[in-house]
Amino acid sequence: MDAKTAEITTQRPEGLKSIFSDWGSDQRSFKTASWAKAMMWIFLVSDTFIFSCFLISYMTVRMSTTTEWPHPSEIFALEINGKKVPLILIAIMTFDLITSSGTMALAVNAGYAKNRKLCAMLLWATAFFGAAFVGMQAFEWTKLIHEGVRPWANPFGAAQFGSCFFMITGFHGFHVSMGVLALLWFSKNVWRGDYESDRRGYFTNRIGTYDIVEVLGLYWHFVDLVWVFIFAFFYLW
Amino acid sequence: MTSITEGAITDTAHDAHVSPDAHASHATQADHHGGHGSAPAGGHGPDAHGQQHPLKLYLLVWALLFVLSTFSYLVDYFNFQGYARWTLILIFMFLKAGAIVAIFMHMAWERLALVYAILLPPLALTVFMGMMAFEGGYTNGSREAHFDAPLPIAAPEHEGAAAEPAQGAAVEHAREAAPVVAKPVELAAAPAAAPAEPSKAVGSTSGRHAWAPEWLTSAEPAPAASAAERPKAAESSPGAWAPEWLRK
Repeated sequence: MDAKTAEITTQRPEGLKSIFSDWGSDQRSFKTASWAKAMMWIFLVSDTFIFSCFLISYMTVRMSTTTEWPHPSEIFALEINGKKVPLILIAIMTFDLITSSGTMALAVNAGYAKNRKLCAMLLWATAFFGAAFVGMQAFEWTKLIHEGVRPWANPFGAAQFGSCFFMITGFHGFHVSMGVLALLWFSKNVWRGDYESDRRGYFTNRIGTYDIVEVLGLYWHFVDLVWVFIFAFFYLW
Repeated sequence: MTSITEGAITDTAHDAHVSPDAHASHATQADHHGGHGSAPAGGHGPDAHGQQHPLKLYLLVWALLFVLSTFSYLVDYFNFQGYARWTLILIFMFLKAGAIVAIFMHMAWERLALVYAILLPPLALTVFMGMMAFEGGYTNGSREAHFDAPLPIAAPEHEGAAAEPAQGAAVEHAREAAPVVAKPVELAAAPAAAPAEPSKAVGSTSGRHAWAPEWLTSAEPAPAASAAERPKAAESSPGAWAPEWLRK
């Protein structure tokens, strides 16, 4: 930002007043967010509503069933050294996803520092942890399906458990999978130096900046954010 | 008038973001600018509205997320129950969510115009949640009041009794699992029954679903499996009628 723009932007009102001022008809509303970022945020809001619908449906069926709800603590326990550790698989998945969120945040930082190799490697690390998460989820699904859990019935209690489980974790896992693909795609661009050499995007034919890494990061952190809620409401509650 | 001019200038500068040569000055922005509130504009990169913050802050939040997740897990591990459990879960959840949104997703440094546009609409979900909690509670109440037998729709008593000695376990399973499984058990107990009218007995007026139309109470067998296969399937697990590849 050149000095002139900086001056104008800093001259703008702060606090509550800035909301009305920025949304004024003579203004561009999002002064510090690129359009890519604004659009990603709006997409994430819509995604929030989708996941909320799933979680609220889950709440509704769990509240209304008269059959006992299965205990996730026991269902997702794993036997380690002959001892059953409750919910351990989910805990590992949670830590895995947080790790990937951390590497993503560092990747955004490295991108803005124009350290493209470090940025690309951090994106790979993020993709690796994301893929590991999907792998563990596949393991979890396989285990539960072998134990007889189906979307319409399960041997542990309320039949709705299965439908909620497959729907919610399935949709989240799909998000993670798409995120991994996006990470691999953009890490290739970063590694090649596209955002410094002004190479045009394959799909967009537009010149990109390291802003893109931050926008990608928004998506990835959102996936982690959703998991925080799934972990709390589905696995712990 | 002044505000229009200001806006115009700001937007022109903003558009430079997409222009190819905006990169040049970017390299000089490697230094970070932490510690400012809602005014990230001052000193930020030209093209990227760059969100560069101290590495230390990221590492701190990262560590915090690990700690909070551990706490969440320990809530389950130490088997907290009741209100203590729910309160602890919610506290750790909101702290984690807040840290992710504020720091990792940079909301703490965005202008309020964006922050409010993004974070306020989801609050409508609390209304949705409240309505569905009300409905869920009501449904549960009416089920408690009116469902006196185990769910779902079970065969009338005399038929169940007939089947009991032969395959008691299977009947139990069938009742728990699904109406479609209930039917095969019945068939197994009375193979001579005419398959053309399977719903007659189930929908009899004596049952607790006597008010419902016959087509609703009838446990019509699934068309996929043949009558010969179904009784066998009902003997094992609830999902046993599923195709082989799905089961193992």
